[in-house]
Amino acid sequence: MVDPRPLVRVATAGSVDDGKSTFIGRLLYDCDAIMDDQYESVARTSRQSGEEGVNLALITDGLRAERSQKITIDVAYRPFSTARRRFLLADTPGHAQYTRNMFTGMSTADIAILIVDAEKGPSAQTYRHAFLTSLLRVPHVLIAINKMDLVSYQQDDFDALCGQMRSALGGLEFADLSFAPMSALSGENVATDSSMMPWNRGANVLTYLENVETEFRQEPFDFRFPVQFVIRPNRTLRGLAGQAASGTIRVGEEVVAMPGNQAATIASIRTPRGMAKKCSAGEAAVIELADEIDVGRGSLLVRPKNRATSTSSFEATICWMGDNPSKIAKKYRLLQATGNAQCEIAELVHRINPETLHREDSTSLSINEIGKVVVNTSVPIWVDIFARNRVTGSFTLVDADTNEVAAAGMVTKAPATIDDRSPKNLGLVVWLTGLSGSGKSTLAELLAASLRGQGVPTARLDGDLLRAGLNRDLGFKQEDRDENIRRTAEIARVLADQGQVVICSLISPLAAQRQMARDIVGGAFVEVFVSCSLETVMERDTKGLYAKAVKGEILEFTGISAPYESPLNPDLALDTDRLPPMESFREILEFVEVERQRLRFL
Amino acid sequence: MKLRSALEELEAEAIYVLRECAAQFDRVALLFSGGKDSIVVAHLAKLAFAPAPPPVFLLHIDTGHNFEETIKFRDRFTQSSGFALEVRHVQDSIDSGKAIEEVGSNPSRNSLQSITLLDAIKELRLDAAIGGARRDEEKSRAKERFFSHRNSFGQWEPRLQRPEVWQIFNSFKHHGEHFRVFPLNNWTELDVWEYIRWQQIEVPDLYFAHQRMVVPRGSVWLAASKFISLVKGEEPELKTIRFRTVGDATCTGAVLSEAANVDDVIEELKTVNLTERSTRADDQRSESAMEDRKREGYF
Repeated sequence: MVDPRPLVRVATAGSVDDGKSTFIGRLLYDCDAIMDDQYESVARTSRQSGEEGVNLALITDGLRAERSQKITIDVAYRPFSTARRRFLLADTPGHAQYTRNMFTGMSTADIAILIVDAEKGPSAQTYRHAFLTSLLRVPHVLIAINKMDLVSYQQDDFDALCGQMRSALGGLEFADLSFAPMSALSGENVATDSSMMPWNRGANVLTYLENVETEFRQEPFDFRFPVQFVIRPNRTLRGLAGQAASGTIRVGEEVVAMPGNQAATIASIRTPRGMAKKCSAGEAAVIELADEIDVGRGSLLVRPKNRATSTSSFEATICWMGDNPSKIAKKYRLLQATGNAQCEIAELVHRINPETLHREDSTSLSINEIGKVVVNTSVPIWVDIFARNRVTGSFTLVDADTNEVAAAGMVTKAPATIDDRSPKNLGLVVWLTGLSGSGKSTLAELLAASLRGQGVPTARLDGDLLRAGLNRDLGFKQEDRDENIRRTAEIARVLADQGQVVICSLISPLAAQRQMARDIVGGAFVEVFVSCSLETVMERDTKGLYAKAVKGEILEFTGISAPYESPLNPDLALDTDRLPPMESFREILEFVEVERQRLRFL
Repeated sequence: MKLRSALEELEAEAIYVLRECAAQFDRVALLFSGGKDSIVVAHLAKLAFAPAPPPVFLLHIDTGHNFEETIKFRDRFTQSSGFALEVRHVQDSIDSGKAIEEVGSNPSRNSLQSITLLDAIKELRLDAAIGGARRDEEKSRAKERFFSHRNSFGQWEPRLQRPEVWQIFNSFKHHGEHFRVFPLNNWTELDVWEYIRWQQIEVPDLYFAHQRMVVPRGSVWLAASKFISLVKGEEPELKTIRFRTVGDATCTGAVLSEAANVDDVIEELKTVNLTERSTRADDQRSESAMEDRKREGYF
């Protein structure tokens, strides 16, 4: 019943006279999005200002001042559609002095189209636009090389421009960057393939817009639900109204209300369509919790094992928008998705020249300037890195004197403080020791898969695999065996220091070897004894090694011709003789969780 | 996030804006004209705060030149929906000398509404007024923010609009200033109708084809009512018409149409090649008619 076409948000930007308005007029015209009376009105205005023909550019400039100056001052939104998609076009101004309006239009875009004049080539402004779209992490960027008619539709000119721009933009991050040649004036390659440019391998602009993969746009799976409003129709219901920024949650799951630490279970979920079992990103929902905890507007509901960072200091890139320049230590009001706190700019790390990308020393940022800053808040707030989440990683600053938006910011770094460390960043070395065939590798594999599934960065170090590569220079002499352990422990330490859970599975038969590994790693080391009787492993003998060892084909084989010193005080012992693999796995998973919580207080 | 239809995304967006509005402002009114857009906003407000009643009341600025059907619908709607309703009359502004009736041909009270509206906002101490305006209606409305600032004179300053980045809305203001909030900003006329069909929302019969005495004025048909004076030579005719917008009877034009129900209206809109506001005499006065009225505090 409901029109199934999705809505795709497109933003355009260009420099003076590169034909952006003509392009938009052409696109709208070719998509039948210009009504007769609008066309008449534009035709009338064109005639009055003595222009030849109908100036389609006049369609977009909606303000008196814009029409008289023939520039775009503020962003204008225009709907249009094709058989496959609905589009909402944000036409943004290109002038540096209206950067804040460009930010407004670009911040919610799925696709950005930057217009470049084929004859003049990219201007300094073009590079500023590219920098801003990269900063805002617009998922898809199309650079449309316009006015191809002025270079006789030559492929060489197009290729040269693309090459020039690709290398100039090399320092910027784009998830998806494409180029297209076109002539907005004649409509070549705008809404239909161009007969003038048969050499063009890419799609025309409209086809590009229709096909770019926005349905499955890179969506973080972290559940993030900023609470907007508390609905209390009666004494019994306390409904948390909001829109999930990312991820999905189901009734019965546990959540934590950040920046606090209190957990509660989801009791019910209500959507505009009635009661639901789950709530996903973008849906309006009202969540009811089964437990009474401290939660209200500005709280962020997350899964206990996948939290945002709770902090009162973070680093961010900001675009200054206020008329008054930034001031160090001045109090600003920080607005997040729904949260709000007092803050100050503690440090201006550097200013970034948006045209050259050079870092410059400065004591303040003026309107439309961009810089890296350290922000301190008066109370802990929740944040994510902007690169990970556009909703929970963004904020604005409001100047309390003028009530105007002074800056828009993107969190780049949020140092984890000791008591607020996000558990997903706690490194730990889980050292599995035991006879060959006792089940170490199977356990390691299950554990790693489970942790990764929860978003915990996890690495595996497997004795056999390391011997095939890093340690292939080592034999089976005692000193080589010790060196094998030492190297493995050193790598494990480096990875754990960077927040990884490192699962090491090595026979490591001697108590002294295991002690050495523990000494190298330090406090984040746990020893897990995967025990199994010799009878069982000989019976299993999956690799056929025990048979060879018994025949004497392998010398000094642990358990047969070399000793295995069972750990006397392991942190965890799993008897795989007795326990089925899934039971052992559950035990070790729970153990690892407890250990990682313990580390938070180290 | 993108797996949903445009209409579902627009619905979620409107609900988000309505909730932000309720969370950030103390006294909020929903500007209710009895037209389809404000009816849809009222419906969305009920969804946004269910199962609680929406924390807003309806405010109708009555020009005194409304179609009888609109007023009847308004009163029935208020009864059944449970919203509280405040009505302020342009006539009162005229009687007190604050507003002066237009003279000349095609006089309209449409722009006088702004005076009554701003007085009501002051009197009711509103810090936000929610409207059903959409960006697709008109080129200056295409520039609107979701939270649109009005200075202490109630005026819109289109060249100095606040940046509105991501979905972060800034409601900080000085004493005497207020905001207009537009949850339907990104909807089109067709979206509104498809939503009305989907959610089975009742709208006034004026939107559907019916027979009425009308006179041609410029490019539109005006209803021959007591509010318009016929000029010499004008002879009302009986036509089958419907209204695309419902507003003041002096400037709301009808279109010849056979669309008798919601399905018909949707089919008609898919083929129509004139904008919705083309039927409004108030917008045909000049290229900047809407921008100028908005600056003065219009809806």
